[in-house]
Amino acid sequence: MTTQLPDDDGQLLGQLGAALRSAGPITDDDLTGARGAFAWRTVDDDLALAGLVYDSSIQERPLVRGEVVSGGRTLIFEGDTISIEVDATPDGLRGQVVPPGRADISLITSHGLAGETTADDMGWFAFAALPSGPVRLLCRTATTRLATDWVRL
Amino acid sequence: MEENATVTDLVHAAAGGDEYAWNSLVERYMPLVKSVIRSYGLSGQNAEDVNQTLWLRLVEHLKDIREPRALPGWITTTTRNECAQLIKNIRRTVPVDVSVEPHAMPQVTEELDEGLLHAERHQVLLQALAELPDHQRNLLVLLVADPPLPYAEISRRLGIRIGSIGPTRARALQRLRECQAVAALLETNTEEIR
Repeated sequence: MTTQLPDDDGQLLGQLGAALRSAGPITDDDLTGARGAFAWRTVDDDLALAGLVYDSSIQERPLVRGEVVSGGRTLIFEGDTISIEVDATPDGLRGQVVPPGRADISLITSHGLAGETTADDMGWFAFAALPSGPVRLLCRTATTRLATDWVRL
Repeated sequence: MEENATVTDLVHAAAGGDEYAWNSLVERYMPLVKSVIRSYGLSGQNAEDVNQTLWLRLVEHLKDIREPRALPGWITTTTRNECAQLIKNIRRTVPVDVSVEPHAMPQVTEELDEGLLHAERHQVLLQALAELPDHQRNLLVLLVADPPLPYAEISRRLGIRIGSIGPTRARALQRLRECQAVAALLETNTEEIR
């Protein structure tokens, strides 16, 4: 397979056509959904973003802090001052705010609020059901507010 | 946002809250995202979920993309990771899933390698296309329409003279060859050859 793009315009146009067809039809739903994502833009300067830094279904990592292997999928989101660890299983979502402490936790889908709960003194919280499609968590402690990256669970 | 806005302009504007700039990024990069998703054999709800997750995540990362030229790479890598994760999850939890098309996961290594090369080339071309100014990009998309459109129809749809289609086509294709995504691919392949 040659790496150069063809000098011939007709050939290059042919390759471009094949590339566009490899995407399949772009539907109005595709565009509407993606445009609508902008409405979820975090505009609040006080709301920090906790990025996804670990996903057990993609990466391996050594166990830390005497953790228990859950059998579910473990995700870690890291903000500047707080991280959130969650275990997702078919039965629901269990998580911990680190450093441990009380916090209000909201479960958000692209349609809006899907659940609310409070993390206990040790930072533990749980949601009984997992919504389908992309979700994120919002976390409010006495001092910080943060939103996690969007993930599919 | 003017018609000749570059991807860099669009990323900065969208990060600053310009919804029109965001919509323009969506239109430019949607074919790339969907091509990556389909190269993993995903369709239906799974494909929609990956697609939606990608855009939701990009909204929050516009600010972090300090070098907007890194955007196509960010989009491609993030979409690939999401697809790989989803497929791994499907295999672990559901033995047979109709939404993963079996023919899209070839068993023969040779076939897979060839498939990957095609997919990579498609994605580089779509990255390059996304960087072209609107008038060049729109023209190229209409020129490869299937079934083909007569020049008169293209002229009508884009509001340009038939006589300017040929020269614009030539300039657009030349720009496609010179685009940074293509240059990066050539560089990578040269390194591999060494």
